[in-house]
Amino acid sequence: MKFADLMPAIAFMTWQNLVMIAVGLILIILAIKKQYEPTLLLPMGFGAILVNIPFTAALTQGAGTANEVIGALDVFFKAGIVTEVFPLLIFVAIGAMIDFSPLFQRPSLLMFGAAAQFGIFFTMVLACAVGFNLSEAASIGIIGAADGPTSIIVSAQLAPQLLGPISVCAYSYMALVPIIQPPVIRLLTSKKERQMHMKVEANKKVSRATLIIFPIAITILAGLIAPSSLALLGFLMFGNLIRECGVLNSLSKTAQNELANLVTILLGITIASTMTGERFVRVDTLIIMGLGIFAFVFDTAGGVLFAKLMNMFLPASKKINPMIGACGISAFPMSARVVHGMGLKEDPTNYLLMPAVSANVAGQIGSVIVGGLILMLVPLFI
Amino acid sequence: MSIDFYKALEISGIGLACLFIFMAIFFLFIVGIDKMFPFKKEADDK
Repeated sequence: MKFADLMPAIAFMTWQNLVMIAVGLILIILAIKKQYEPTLLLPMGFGAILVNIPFTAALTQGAGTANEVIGALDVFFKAGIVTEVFPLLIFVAIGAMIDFSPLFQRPSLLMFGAAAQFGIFFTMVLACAVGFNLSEAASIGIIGAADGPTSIIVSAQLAPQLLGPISVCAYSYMALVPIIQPPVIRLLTSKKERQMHMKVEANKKVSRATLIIFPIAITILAGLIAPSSLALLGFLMFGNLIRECGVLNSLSKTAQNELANLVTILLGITIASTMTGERFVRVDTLIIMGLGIFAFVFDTAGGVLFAKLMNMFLPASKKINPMIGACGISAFPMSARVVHGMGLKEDPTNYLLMPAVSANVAGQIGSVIVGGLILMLVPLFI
Repeated sequence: MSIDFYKALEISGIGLACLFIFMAIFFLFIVGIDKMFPFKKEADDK
């Protein structure tokens, strides 16, 4: 009997498999030791180990032959990612977690939810320049949305072959916001600008009717303008309506906890099914990781520079601290916390948390809209 | 540069413009509903 017959997993182990097992271990270490997005990086890390052992029963073996054995991860992938069910369920959970009332404190900050998506488009152009096709480039650019479920939906539709690296980048870079954003903000702002105080109506309350009408009306408005954004935005707003209606507290809590936890477990380990050595260990993956950082950096820059532009037209009493622009990404509440912390570091009496949270909530809406726009626009140009 | 590069530039222009228009509409909407349904202490505290 040959060794390969007796120990096929060892005999057919490739260096790519070993690299991916190491990547899986690194993700697990980052999740546990550094607590970088542990809810996703840990299942993804473990999944990467699981799918890189040759002949793993977690993946379908002998596809198309009489001896075909269907793997559970492939079943999850087809049922949850290809159909987009998992990310959309996550959106219901996120919607139930978001309080949109900070947006009503100073609605003009909503515009940062648009400005801070600049990096997505810039990276898309850059990715085309380095040789990716339009669908792949759009999927890479969306990493800059700092929004895992949106990145998954866009790449699953436009470039499913890149789903693994894009998901890993989207989630791991989200956790790196405190490292990526501060140097970019410092580079683009003066000390005087960072010390700028902002007037906020901190005690302004929003009526219950407004908070109930908001998700319904936004869904209708967005649906009428860009129906392709409805799957993303609609599920987010549905979750929010459950939260705000006041008569479904039990469902709201379930969406925020049990649903979010269950789907997150399945989502992480299912995405890992795409992290096999032969698909992941490629030069393309490294380029995607580099471009993903570009997307984050230029999103931050877009938001900061837009704040500076707005300040040129605003009266002195309404000027915006340019750092607030960086919160227009979807990484909530991490980005708001980072900017608030930077403000306090420059001036211990400078409390930027409220406007930062407002811009960050706008970023959550902006990232979903931009995902829908990309899904609508890219097929028109292919 | 490839054709895709120019297509990406065009998508970026259209996408960013649409995004700002979206947000401007949402801004007007938020200002509008906030004025139409202002916070009333007794009713909303319930």
